[in-house]
Amino acid sequence: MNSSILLKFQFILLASLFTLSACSKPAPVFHETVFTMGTLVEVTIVGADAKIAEEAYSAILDDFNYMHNTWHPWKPNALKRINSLLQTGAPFPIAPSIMPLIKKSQILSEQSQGLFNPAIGQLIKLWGFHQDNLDEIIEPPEGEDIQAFLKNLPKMSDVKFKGISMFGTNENIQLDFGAFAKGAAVDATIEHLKEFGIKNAIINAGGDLRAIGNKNGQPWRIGIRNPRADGIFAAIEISGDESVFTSGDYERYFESDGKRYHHIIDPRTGYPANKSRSVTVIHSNAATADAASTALFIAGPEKWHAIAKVMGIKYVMLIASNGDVHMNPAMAKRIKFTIKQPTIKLSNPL
Amino acid sequence: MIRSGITSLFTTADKILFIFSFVAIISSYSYFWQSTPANYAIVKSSQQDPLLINLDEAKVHQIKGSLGISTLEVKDGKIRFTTSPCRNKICIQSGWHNHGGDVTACLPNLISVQLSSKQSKANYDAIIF
Repeated sequence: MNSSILLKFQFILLASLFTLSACSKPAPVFHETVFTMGTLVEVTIVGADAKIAEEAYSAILDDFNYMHNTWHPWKPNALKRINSLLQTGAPFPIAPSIMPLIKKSQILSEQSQGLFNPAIGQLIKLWGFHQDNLDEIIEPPEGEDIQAFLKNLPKMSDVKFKGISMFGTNENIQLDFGAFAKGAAVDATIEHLKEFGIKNAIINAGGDLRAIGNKNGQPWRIGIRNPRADGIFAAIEISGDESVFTSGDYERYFESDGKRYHHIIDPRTGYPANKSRSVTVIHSNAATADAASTALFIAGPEKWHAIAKVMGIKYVMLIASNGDVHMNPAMAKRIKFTIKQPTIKLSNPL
Repeated sequence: MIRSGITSLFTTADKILFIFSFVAIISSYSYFWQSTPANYAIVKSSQQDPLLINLDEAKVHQIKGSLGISTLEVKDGKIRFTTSPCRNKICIQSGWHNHGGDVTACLPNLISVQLSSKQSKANYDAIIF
């Protein structure tokens, strides 16, 4: 009997040892960062052959550069040509490189009740946020210029399709996919990675990401940077196929006469939205998460829940301008604060 | 008496096996599961070759970027931007960084700083902002 107890004890010890080792068997990790799409893109691939990871990385780098050049709203390219033609009101042949972007953003814009509105490129330009970097001196636009634009506010529904042609019905329309292109590019490149047989990867485009698979059987651990201080504010684990996108008032801004103006413009007022500091959204599709984080930021603490419901978003964390954290219960279960827990306002389930 | 009873269950070989197993389990847990801060940073710039910076060595590094020189300060195992020719100074305002796996950058000056640890372990697989 004594030797039986001893044997069991030894077995438990050895089983624990083997379990720990087996769970943690390291897989090869490919990690690279590159400046593209006007931001820093970080690619992490786990468990793939080094040569395949290199080839896949090279391929998606080409993808990113192509999409950046094609979708940039102010450089001489397909989108700039479309914008010029849309303003004339005359029909012209549909551009296949842009049409998927227009179609998807029309749906998302309608769901967001126009808060996500890529048709307001002229307003973005008035504010000076059309530049890749904000190193030129920028002043806020004149109020009368904003009001003049708002009198004939363009919407995504002003882009019409007829047969193989498209045309615009608002002379103010200027498509700018700044709040959407990064997500669409991440979706396209993740799909390309899958074609290489890659099952576990993260593409992090300037702080917005989509992750597939996992890391050595464990979920990916994502840190959310504090919007008002150094360090990490909260952590979240994701796995399978999920995108995490954040829109914040600290990402792009300029200061004039001691006042800060950020880049998320409310299409209803023509001025930077002022009810939120940041919004973090989780969704399987990066483009949807990208558009939703912008729309919910503009919606603010009162309206985010209703908009999220229509857009099909299941996980939202909104930090209001007063620092309160608004979340739906499903998101609250996934967020782990790494600092002293702030005031949390839980919504009804989404 | 009980203690001597239990001790009598073990042979010398059993005791060695127990000690070895405990040490192996504890060290496995520590090695595989506990996070560690970064101890080096890889700095990339559009204007110069990548630079490996030891975070254990307090030093000021000047990095040439597309707009001009950015300064990186290393102190107490952490790194931060202290000067930059960019307009908004977001890179400077992001403060100190010491998490393995963290990435910070000055986008206008095209300089990125990627933090890593020798054990290739990181607190986070990615940072969003």
